[in-house]
Amino acid sequence: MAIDPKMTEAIEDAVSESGQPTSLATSIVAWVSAITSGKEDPHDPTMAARRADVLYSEALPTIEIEGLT
Amino acid sequence: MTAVIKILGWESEGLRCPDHEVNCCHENGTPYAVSLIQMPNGTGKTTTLTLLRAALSGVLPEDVHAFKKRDFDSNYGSFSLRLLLNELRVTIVMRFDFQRGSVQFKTTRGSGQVEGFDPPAEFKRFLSAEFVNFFVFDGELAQHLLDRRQVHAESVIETLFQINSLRMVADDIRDYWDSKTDRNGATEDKALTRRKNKVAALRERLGQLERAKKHALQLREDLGAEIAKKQQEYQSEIGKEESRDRELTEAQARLDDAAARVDELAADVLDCMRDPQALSSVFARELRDLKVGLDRVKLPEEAAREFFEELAGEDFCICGRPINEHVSVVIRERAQQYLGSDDVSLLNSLKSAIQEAIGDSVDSASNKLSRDNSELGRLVAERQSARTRLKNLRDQASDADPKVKDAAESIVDLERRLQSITEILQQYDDKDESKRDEDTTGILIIKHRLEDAERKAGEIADTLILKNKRDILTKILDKAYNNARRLIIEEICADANRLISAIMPHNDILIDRVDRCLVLGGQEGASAGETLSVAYAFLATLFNRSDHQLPFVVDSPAGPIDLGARPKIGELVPRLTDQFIAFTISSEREGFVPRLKSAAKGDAMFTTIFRREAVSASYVPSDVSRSETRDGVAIIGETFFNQFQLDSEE
Repeated sequence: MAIDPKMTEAIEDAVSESGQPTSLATSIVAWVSAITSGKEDPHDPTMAARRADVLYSEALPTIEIEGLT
Repeated sequence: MTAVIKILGWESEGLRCPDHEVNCCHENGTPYAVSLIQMPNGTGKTTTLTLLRAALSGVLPEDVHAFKKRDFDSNYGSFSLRLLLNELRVTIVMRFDFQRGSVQFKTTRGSGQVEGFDPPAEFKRFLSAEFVNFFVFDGELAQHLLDRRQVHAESVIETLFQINSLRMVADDIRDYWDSKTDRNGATEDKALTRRKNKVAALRERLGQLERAKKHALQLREDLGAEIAKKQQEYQSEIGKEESRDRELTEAQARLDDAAARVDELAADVLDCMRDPQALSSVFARELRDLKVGLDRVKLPEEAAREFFEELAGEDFCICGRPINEHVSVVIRERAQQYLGSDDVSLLNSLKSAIQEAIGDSVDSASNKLSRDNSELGRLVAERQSARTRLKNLRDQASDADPKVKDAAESIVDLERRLQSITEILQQYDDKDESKRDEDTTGILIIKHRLEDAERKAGEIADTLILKNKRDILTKILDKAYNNARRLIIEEICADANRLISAIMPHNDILIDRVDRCLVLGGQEGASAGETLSVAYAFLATLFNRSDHQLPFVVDSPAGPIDLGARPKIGELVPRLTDQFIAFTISSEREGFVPRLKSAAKGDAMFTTIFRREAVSASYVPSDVSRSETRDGVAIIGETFFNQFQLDSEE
């Protein structure tokens, strides 16, 4: 089934409140939609790693590492 | 994926309810929107409902013997349920063995049958004991909806709307972090601190060494300039006495010439000594014997075979003689003697190299080296003589003039210091890797160690960044999960309350919140009819919101409900689901069934089931469609359904 609109709203709000880019919310919604619609097997580790990779690359870190440059 | 579950029918035999078969489908196989099964109390409604729940969930109540037919000798019974799961026909069969007190499940999908309860994986979350209670329910379960000890309404909402998918994504985010990092006990923070300290120490050490080297290089340059200056002073003093100056110049030139010739010949001798045949004639002899011992040269097969083939086909040989048929055959036969493997090229090269090195005499190379060695000894002696001659002249000059002596001594002192500085500078090119950082003077080694430490520290820093992102993402997903659950539940409660108000406008009863169970606001408790109405409204809202299509099976759908509210429930039910199956008694038809049939646009099936002994044969008209078993009668048709007046058999 399609993702419930309230789930989309909750994801977008959580991303926004964390100060993260909207593209991150889009990627999370896309992943959850793929699972709930049955288009993607949630137990497929390869696909999960690919999706996780996208989320990690879109998330902005909130720490800085000093002393290495 | 959207799940569509339809009940096509079931069959019971040898169990506590009368043996019967119910078909919920039209003749073309599509299920009725509404299937009403009228069974007087005591006929086995509860048993049938329990069997349906068991077949839909794969879980049977513990007391198997409670399902045994009374006054019946057989120790076996069976219940089979026919389902349509999306487009797939699935039959669940339960075989009861009352002697052993066991039940065996079998699942048939398409043409294959397997042991056990095994529906398709995508339906398992709906076909669980907890979830089935929400679409196969009775007045008791309606009460359970209001009891937090009995149900977990939130978990059903989570399952239906797959809110848990956010948790699954969060788990995948954690798994990704685990797969990208190698955590061996020490925390990343401590490891990073350690690495940063190492980087700082190596940077400090490199700085020290580079500063020291720069200082030494500057010192060497200064000393070189000082030496040049002193040498100029020395030459200037020497130059004041013309004949001695000339003698010194000549002596220096002779020394330079001798030294140059020594260097040149020494280099030649060193080159020559690398050839074994020059070190000893024994080596030369052995090499020559090796060459002689090698097979006679053969031609590389690949390249030469074609040559012989073409030659044999010519009219004349390369020597000019004619080639007749006999000669052609001989050429082809003998060609084999001259054909070798392709490795022959390498052997030929080896033999040529030996010939070139040894020449005609095995002694020539060793004799030459011997001569060169003798000449080198002579040149070294000549250089030593020139050096002694120059030193003597300088000593004489120093003795004769104190300024010359001072300059010479200064030069010697400066050259000694220069030598010392040169040795110090060599330490900075040290290649010894075994020393600790603080003892190592090799600048290149420290640079490599610093690069390595910076790389490792960078890896830990990347890990820390990744960890930070993992924490951000899991926090977002946790928050989204909680918010999604809250928002969906709030909206379901609001929608359900609108329905409740429409069904019971004067009852002042509303769902306040979902806290495991439904928590009512407005009043302390609710009557059985109110509770059932609330349950209908809640489940209608729940299932309407979801894309999944589940059947709705209810025992006594209108029994406890006031006559005034029954029509509204009747109108509501077809909106709940595409398939409604209800077990009724005659007294709950009033006000409910007509409105239900009308709301379902007439797509309704009516069956009345009773025990054979409960009704006299004359009670059943002869023109109705009936099926009889050993202890049950099933009458199909709306007219008999509406005429039947028996609420209880006992």
